[in-house]
Amino acid sequence: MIDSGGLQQAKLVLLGDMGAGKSSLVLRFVKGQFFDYQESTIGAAFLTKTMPEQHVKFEIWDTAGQERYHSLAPMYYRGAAAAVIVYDITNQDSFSKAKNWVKELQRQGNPNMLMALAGNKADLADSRAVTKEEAAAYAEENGLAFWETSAKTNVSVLEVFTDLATRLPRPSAPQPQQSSGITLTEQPPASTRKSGCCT
Amino acid sequence: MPASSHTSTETAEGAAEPSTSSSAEPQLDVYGFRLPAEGLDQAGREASEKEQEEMTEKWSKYAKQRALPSASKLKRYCRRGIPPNIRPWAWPEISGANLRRHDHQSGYYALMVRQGEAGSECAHQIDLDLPRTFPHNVWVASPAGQTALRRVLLAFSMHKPAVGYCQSMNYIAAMLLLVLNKKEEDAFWVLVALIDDGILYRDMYANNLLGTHVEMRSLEELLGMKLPRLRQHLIKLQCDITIIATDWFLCLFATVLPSESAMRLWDALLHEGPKVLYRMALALLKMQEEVLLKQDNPGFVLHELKRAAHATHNRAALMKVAFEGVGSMPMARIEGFREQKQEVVQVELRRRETRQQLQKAISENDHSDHDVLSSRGISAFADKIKLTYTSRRRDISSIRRGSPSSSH
Repeated sequence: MIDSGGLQQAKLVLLGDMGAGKSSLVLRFVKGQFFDYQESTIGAAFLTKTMPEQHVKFEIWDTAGQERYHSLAPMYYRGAAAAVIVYDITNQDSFSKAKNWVKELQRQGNPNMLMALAGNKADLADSRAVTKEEAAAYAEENGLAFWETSAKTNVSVLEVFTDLATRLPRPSAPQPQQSSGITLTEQPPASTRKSGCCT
Repeated sequence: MPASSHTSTETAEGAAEPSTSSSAEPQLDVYGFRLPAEGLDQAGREASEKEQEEMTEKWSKYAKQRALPSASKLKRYCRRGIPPNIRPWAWPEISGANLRRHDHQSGYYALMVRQGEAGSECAHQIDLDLPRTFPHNVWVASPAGQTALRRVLLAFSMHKPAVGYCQSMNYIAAMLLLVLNKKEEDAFWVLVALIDDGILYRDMYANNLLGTHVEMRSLEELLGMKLPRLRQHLIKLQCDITIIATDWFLCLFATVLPSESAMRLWDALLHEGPKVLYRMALALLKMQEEVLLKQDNPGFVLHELKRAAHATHNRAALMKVAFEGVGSMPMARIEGFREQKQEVVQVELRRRETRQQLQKAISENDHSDHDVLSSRGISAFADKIKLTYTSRRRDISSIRRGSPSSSH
């Protein structure tokens, strides 16, 4: 969807195990803030962020991580253009859960959904339980962009979202009901880059 | 009312947080939560405090005699609010927590704590959430607060292993501790009364949130009756009520309303039960109806509601809308909706579980060592699928026959 300011509105959802750092990543990205203890999210939170250079406005749904909230997730990923699946590099179980999310999205999600895998808490490399190689190989196999991030020390957070924004499929033809005053001609063609980094 | 009527598409973005100025000590409410530095509805708070003084006089009499008001008065008095200094006595009484406690041996809570500390399956999840529970509340964040909260949650997970720990119970238990003079055992028994003794609808916190899904569907029906225009608008936006009200019902509004307002709600909740949650949900939606009708995206609906709820410091006025403004709400009607929805939700959840099991069977098969094309491979795979499928059929038909199999 294009809004009146010529921005492409894109729904983005964050999924992943509890305590992996979904809310912290969003808060870092949207407000540039970080708190050591971020309140646990119940249900979901909603934030927006405009990326002027990419002409994209992300509408971000940050979800609850505990498994029993899983049954709510389809409401948030339905119709999403992009998903960031987050795990905690110090917790192997959170990586398995991330893989389950990828599977679920591959089966049930929007088939054109862009996905990024974020191994968060990269600042805690001393307690690492998931190797970068293992995660990168998995991401490659599944066509996901992959980053190790740290919401705390602000490592690669912006990159995750910028990469997704750049790769969003652009509406190819102006949609009839929204044709008034929209010019997209100055936008670059959709990038065909597959993976973000860490190859 | 604090609601600003303009619609905005940018409010969720950027520095919407009030600046945490270091110049002045933040003003705290009675439970140690920060009051906003700007835009606080001071007049509304003062009006509420006046009402509270009035009620203090009435309640003190009963507290002194350690006897609740007569049944005819009790409902009214709970709705008009129990003063904070009376709650530590009144809540365990009105909630049935004291009765429940006396049904158990005297060391029951300590026993549950010991068992929980020795090895609750939920310990890891509880520990993850402890520092993330009201991190700005000085007592909750203190070592004493963290220890007390941990013990209450561990004890509950042992008391009710089928529920264990559900995210949101951390906020409830923390509020209970704050209100009940930090007495763990009282907090524990009121938590039990809420979740395991019939105050809240059954299975709300179950491992698939079954009861919460049922409550959400029922709320949607009530919304259609009370605020039909808004319901139509939400349908148009594909904004399921679940997006709006899940945390309201699971956290009992403790994470969206200012604590003094939320605790006023709990005064009535502990006596009357979850009908009160429906009333509050409809009150918030009603007060914001005009603003919400202008939103074109579920996210902004959620955002506007959160903003308005956070600013509702005039608890007297809020309760008036909840108890008078939204009109009559017979419990029989809610029960009727629940009954209808219970089956729908159970079947739906069962389908989802089956789908997941089938997918798991398929992916395990993909990764299994034996050749899928060998006859053994195929028949093992087919057996697995058949088993999953027939057990689902059986489950669903037993749900339809009204079997109570999964009610607890």
